[in-house]
Amino acid sequence: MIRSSDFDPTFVQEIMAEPGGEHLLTCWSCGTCAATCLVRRFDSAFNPRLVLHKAGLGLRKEVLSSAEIWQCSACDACYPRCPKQIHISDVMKAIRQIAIREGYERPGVTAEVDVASCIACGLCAAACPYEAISLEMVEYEGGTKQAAKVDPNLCMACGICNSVCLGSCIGVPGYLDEAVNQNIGEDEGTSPTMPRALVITCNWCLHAGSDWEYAQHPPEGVKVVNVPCSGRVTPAFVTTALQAGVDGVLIVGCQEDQCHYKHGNALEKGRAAMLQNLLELLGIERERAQFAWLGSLDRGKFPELVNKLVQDVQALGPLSWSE
Amino acid sequence: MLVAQVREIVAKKLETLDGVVALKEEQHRVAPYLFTAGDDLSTLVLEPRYPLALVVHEILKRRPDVRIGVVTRGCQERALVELANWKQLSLDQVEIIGFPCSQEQAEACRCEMPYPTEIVAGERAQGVVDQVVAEFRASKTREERLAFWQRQLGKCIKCYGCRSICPLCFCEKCAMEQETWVTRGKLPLPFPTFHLIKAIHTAGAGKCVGCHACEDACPADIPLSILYSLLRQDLKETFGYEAGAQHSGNPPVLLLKEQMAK
Repeated sequence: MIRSSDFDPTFVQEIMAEPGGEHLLTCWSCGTCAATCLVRRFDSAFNPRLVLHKAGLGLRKEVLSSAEIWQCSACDACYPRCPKQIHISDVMKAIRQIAIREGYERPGVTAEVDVASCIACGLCAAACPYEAISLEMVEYEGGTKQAAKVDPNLCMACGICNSVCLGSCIGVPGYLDEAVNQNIGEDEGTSPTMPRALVITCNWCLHAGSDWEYAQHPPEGVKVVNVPCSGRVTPAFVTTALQAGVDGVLIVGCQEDQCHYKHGNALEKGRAAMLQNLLELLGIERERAQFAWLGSLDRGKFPELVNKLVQDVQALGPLSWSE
Repeated sequence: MLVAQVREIVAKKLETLDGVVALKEEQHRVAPYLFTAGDDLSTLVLEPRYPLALVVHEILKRRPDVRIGVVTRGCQERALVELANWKQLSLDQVEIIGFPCSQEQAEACRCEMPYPTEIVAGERAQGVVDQVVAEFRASKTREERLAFWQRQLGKCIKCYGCRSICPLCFCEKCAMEQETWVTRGKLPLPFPTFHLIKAIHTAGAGKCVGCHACEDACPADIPLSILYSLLRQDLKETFGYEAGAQHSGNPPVLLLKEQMAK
């Protein structure tokens, strides 16, 4: 129950004084943001309209302590649709700034470091889109050691750090190598004679609801696995899939300059090209490891990409490295 | 003679340095050795090729308080620079005592720069343009390439020699040992993930300096350097990055970020 005694007008003023928070009170609670929100695919309880409404009422404690202000991933799917042109992710950011100042911490998972195996090469720190990782002296086995350290308030849990770390010494729980690989390797029970295809998509490239639905129910022989960002995909995911009997893999990320995590897609594009070149040199057709981008305007294009993969795989036939 | 000149220079350097890493011949066997002041330098030899950067790195990991020299070829100087790019050692602790490779060696390694940036003795050999990938592609159809590598990589006994001898394989936790990626207890390997990880984590990450130590170490004589040459060329074309060419501290992933920021 909301009590009027909980209303704190200074909270409203504070948010509006933060960069990005200026338009808080323009919201008329139509709910279009919630209807287009991509985060709701993963957690239907998340509702940006409610966050803005509660913040507008000045419910300081309820808003600052909620998990929702951290859940907005700034995909900005709502922004072009908001009739009041509120940049909602900016408002969320303004609220988060206040939360950080008041000592609240991001709940849920952020990247974690395996200090024992970290060699402080700094690659993760360099690749992190949010400058959430730094090299610091950390406590280890009674002494100290230089290792990567994650600022949980800056980490957006994209997993790019994991994919660049050569020893996988850092990663986001739930999207560590074993977890993703298990998803990839799980047998869907298709017949052994049928060609098998694997599609790895990022969480944000399927803008149309119909594309998302298609990914949930792909055609027979096709498996779709989700990762936060295409930049999380290491070439080893592809090679282990090929080893497990998959005949072709497609990685789908966001369109150039539209990566949800700034540069994960560009990183992956380079790595996919590298893997394709390697496979081709080994005599394995490069079509067995495909990479594609989907932009916010490429609605309904996802099934086309999958169909192309299936056709390619059928034309190539099964991959037999060891007879 | 080249080796005599090098011995003379090492003797002089030992007056100021804590030690010099080089090869030592003893009872017809050659091994890496840390020469210190007063040692008999007549046992110091230059042949055969050995990735001494590996030894220098191991010493400096344990002794951050010393400054040592290393009698090195071009590839090992580049390996040390690349180790510094990856923050694994400080070049302030190392003094290069460089000598050039012979022309035959340069040809055998397909080495573009068969000498260190500065040499203390000898003559620079001509650099060789590495065309192995182009030649390999031109001489074989896809089916022939597949058959070639199935046979070559099928010889692998997973001894990890290529990994252990690599001066740039410095991870504490090696991806090639993770069961997530590499099947245990099965030979021949059902798929060359093992070799692809090695290729991508060294050459693909911009670390491989083309020293060919992995090929020398391979008991099965697998021509691994063809795979690494491909990735080295890719990185050169895409980012203009050559492992160990300069102490920039910017491995390719960083260069990518710079490109994205533009």
